[in-house]
Amino acid sequence: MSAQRESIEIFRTVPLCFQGDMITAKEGEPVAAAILATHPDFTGKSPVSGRRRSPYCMMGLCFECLMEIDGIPNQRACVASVRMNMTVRKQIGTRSFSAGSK
Amino acid sequence: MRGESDTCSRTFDVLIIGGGVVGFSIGYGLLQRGVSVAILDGTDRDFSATRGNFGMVSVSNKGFNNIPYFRLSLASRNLWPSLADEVHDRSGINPHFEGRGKVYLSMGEQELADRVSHIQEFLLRAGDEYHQEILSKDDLDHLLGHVGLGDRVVGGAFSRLDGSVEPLQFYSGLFRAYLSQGGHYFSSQIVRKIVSKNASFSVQTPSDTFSAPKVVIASGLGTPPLASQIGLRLNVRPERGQIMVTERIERVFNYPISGFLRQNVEGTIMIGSSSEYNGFDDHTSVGVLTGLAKGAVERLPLLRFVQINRCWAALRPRTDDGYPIYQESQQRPGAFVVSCHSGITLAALHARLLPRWILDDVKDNLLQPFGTGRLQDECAT
Ligand SMILES: Cc1cc2nc3c(=O)[nH]c(=O)nc-3n(C[C@H](O)[C@H](O)[C@H](O)COP(=O)(O)OP(=O)(O)OC[C@H]3O[C@@H](n4cnc5c(N)ncnc54)[C@H](O)[C@@H]3O)c2cc1C
Ligand code: FES
Repeated sequence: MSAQRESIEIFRTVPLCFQGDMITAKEGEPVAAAILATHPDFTGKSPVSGRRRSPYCMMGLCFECLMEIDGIPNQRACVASVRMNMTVRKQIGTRSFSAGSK
Repeated sequence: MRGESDTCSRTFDVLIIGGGVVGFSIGYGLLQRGVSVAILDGTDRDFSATRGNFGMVSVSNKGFNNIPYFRLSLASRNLWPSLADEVHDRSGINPHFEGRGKVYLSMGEQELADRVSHIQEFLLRAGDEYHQEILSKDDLDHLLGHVGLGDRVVGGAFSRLDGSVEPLQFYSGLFRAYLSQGGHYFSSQIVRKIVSKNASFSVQTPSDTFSAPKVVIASGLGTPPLASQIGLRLNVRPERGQIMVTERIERVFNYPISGFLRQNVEGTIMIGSSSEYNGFDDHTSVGVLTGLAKGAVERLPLLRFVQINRCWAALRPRTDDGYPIYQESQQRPGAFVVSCHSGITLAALHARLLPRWILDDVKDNLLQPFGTGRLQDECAT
C-alpha cells in the first residue's frame, strides 16, 4: 500500500490545457482522472442523444469518456496517459470524417 | 432476454425451435393469423448469426446461378418496407430499413470489365426485374457524397434493388413486436427430442415438454440433429464472418458499398464481412481483420484516420449449396425445416409467405424450388 502510494508521489506534476484553462495533472495518470479531479463535470455529449456524458468504467470499455485530445477526436480519456503540455477538449457530438487527417 | 417460466399450459398451435431472426420472423408472421405460437430458444452462449451480422438486404448479388433465388430475395426486399414500419409501430424500435440501393466499387480495369459482363449476363438471365448500372468514378464519388475514392478505384456500379437495416435494432424490435402480439418465448430450452403422436408433436428439453400440432425447426447451426428426428437429412455448415466497427463520425456516405462498408444511422462504420470456413471457431483473426481494414482504406482513403472500436466474428448457417431450405417432413407432416444464409434479407418474406405454407399447406411458387429434394439429386449425380 505505502509502496504504491510512493510510486504515485514520484510522478511529475505537469500542466494540461482543458477547455482553454490550464490545470495541473500528474504525468502518467489517466487524462480522465486529471479532469475529474479538477472539473467534476461532464466530459462530452453523446452524438446520439445529445446528453452529457462523463467517465464511467475507467477501464476503456464503455466509451463514455470520449474527449478530443491534442486535436484528435473521440479519444477515451480513461486510457490516455497524461503527458507534458496536452490540450484536452470536451467531445461534443460526432467528429467530422476528415478530422483525424490534419 | 426475457423468458417465461409459467406453469400453465404448454400446448400451442405452433412451436418454433430457434429464436434467431429466422424463428422470430416466422413467429411474428404466424401471430398475424391469430394462432398461438411459442419460440423455444437456446442460451446466450449458443452461436448466433442474428447477433453478429452486417445488416444488408442483398438482392443484386443474389442468385446469378440460381434465378429463383434472385426472385426470392427481390420479393423479400419488396416486402421489407411494410415489415419495417410494422415492427417500428409495434415495438417502438426503428429498425432503420433503407432501400435506396447499394454501390459497387471496382478496383482496377479488369474488375470493372468483369463487372460489365457480369451485369450483362445477369440481365439476360433475370430479365427486366434486374437492375445494376455501371457508373464512372466521378458519378460514384458524387453519389457517395464526395468522400474521396482511392486511386485504385476505376469505376463501379449502382443497383437500386438493395437495402440495409440496423441488424440489432431490427432483431430487438422484432422480438418486442412478437411479444406485443401475444407470442410466447422461452429461453434456455434446448430441444433434444421431437416425438410425434396422434397428429401432435411433443418437443422435449432437459426441463420441460411442449406440444403442438405443428413444429418449425429454425435452429441455425443446431438444425441438422433436429431435422434428422423428423426424417430430413441435411447439412448446415458454419461459415465464419468477421466485422469491424469504427468510432462514430458524421454521416458521410448514404449508400452501402457492397461487401465492405456501411454507415449506421448513429455514425459508426461497419467494415466487413469476411467469409471463411474454420469449423465452429468463432474467434476473430488478425490476418483477416488486417485484410478488411486494408480493403476499406484502399476504397475510402480517409478511413485511415478513423479508429476501429470493436471487432467480432460470428458463424453463418450455410446449407450445402448455399441456398435456403423450406421443407416439410413427408414422414412427419406438420414438421418443417427452414434454414437460410441471409436471414436478414429474407426476413420479410419469411414473415409474410411462410405462415400460409405452415398453416394452410399452400406453398408459394417462390418457395417451390427450395425443398431438400434438390440436395438429394445433387448427391446422386
Ligand atoms: C458476419 C455475418 C454477416 C452477415 N451479414 C448478413 C447480411 O448482411 N444480410 C443478411 O441477410 N444476412 C447476413 N448474415 C446471415 C444472417 O445473420 C443469418 O442468415 C441469420 O441470422 C440466421 O438466423 P437463424 O435464426 O437461422 O440462426 P441463428 O441466428 O444462428 O439462431 C439460431 C438460434 O437457434 C437456437 N438453437 C439452436 N439449437 C437449438 C435447439 N436444439 N433448441 C432450441 N434452440 C436452438 C440458438 O440458440 C439460436 O438462438 C450474416 C451473418 C454473419 C455471421
Ligand atoms: S470511462 Fe469507460 S471507456 Fe473510458
